[in-house]
Amino acid sequence: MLSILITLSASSVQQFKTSINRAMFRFCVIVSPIIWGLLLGMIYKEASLQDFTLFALLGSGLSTFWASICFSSASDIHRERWYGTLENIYAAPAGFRWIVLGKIIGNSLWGMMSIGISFFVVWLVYRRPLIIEHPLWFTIGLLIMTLSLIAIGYFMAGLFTLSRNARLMMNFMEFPVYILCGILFPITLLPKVLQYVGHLLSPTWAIKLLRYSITGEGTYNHIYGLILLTVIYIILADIFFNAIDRKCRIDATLEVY
Amino acid sequence: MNTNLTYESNLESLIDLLKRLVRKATFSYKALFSVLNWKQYVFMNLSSPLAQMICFAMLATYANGGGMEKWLLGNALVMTYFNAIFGVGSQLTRERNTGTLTMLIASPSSRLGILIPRATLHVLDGILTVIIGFLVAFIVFGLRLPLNIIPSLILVLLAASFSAMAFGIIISCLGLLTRDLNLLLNVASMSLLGLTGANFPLSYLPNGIDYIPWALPLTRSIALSKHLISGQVLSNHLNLLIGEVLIGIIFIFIGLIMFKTIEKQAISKGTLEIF
Repeated sequence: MLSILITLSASSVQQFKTSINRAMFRFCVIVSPIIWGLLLGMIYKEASLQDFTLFALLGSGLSTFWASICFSSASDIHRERWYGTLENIYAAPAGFRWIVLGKIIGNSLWGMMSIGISFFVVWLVYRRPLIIEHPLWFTIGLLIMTLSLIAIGYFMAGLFTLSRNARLMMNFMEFPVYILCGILFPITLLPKVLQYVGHLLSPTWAIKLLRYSITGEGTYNHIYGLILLTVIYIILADIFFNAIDRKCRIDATLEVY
Repeated sequence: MNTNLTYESNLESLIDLLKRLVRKATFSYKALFSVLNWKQYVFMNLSSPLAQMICFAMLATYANGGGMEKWLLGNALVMTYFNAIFGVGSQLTRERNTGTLTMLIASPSSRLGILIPRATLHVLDGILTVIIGFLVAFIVFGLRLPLNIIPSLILVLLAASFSAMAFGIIISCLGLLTRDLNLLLNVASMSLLGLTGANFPLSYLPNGIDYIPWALPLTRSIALSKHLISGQVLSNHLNLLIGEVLIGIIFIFIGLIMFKTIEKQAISKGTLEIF
């Protein structure tokens, strides 16, 4: 257990330091939160305080966090392949999956910072009072949502390594998640069928929990949905990584597919 | 007799010019996209812009109200920037990366002849994307446009695509001055998304920066599309259409001047491939 923690820590620190050197990642976690904060603040300029807090303030942070998951965590294994270092980390005694998970945690630390940047920009530029009815639930919601996004990144890293076709989804899945999860506007605007699909994604539950913490309306029971889906993502990720392991040993195609 | 000969010779030159334009445009477009299969093309070139259009149209309607049609139209027109920024905007950097930029500079071809063909097919591709966007809006959101405004909308779409591509030429030249092309492309695309009036009324912008949208492509086309959807006729707002075309021409000239300046500097300092 201790060795796993050391691996996670070392890998996340290394990723935290190196990922920011990539121009696209810098854009995702530093420039993008500023632009999204300004854009969403302007779109919600005349909206109610609750909508402004939920969708302009929180939405800008979450959307950039999600983008960093899409364009970084999900494709880190593929990037290692291009660097020519995939075989090394795969064969490392520390454990391939823990190294990958550490990398995703490192990226997610930057993702949390991007939420902070967008909060600060929206607060600084628009100067609207922020309403948070239950600050404790807000903090809990943010923390569990971060863990859940790490789980999604881990799940997608496995899936995208297994399937080249799935990797095509990477460029596509940014906006559908904003729509289906209600990150930028309520999902009640969507047809019922799409609302059900949205509930298969943990950010939907996270947004509901955060909405409860901001408006005080509804219930904190959404936390159960959020935790349940997070656990399911972790189990699926574990299955994917086992499949990767098996496929690599049988087909010897780690660097090819 | 001489007049006939001159006429025929001019016609041949014109046909030759057009043939060269089509050939160069096809080559540069294929160079960019021929590596993609149809699935990759659909996911990368169509799905992402369409998902963005749907997302922002719903967002703007929820936040600002006023009927979904105008936000759908605005966001459909904004989709032209995908080709303009990510297609045209990255062309020269791509030439540099593949080692062909020096050959282009050394070629006797005019600079206009280098830049325009690289944008031509992207204009058509952008228009195709917007038309698919309209179809999606028709099927998913029940967008119904009065038939009498369709010809005017086609003109607006052509003008919007032209000015967006011309803007892409400037971005392409700026790309030669930076190593951080992705940053440039993404900031430029987000600026067009945010500052052209597609997603919020431009009156929301504070004094001092409210003139910026009018220096960008698409702003006039989006404003014009909103006038058309509200029942007004094109002839009442011709200034917007002419303005969109004019700003496109100005962008092309700025792009040409930038390209020539960069070329001159690069030749004198030998730094064309260094950045």
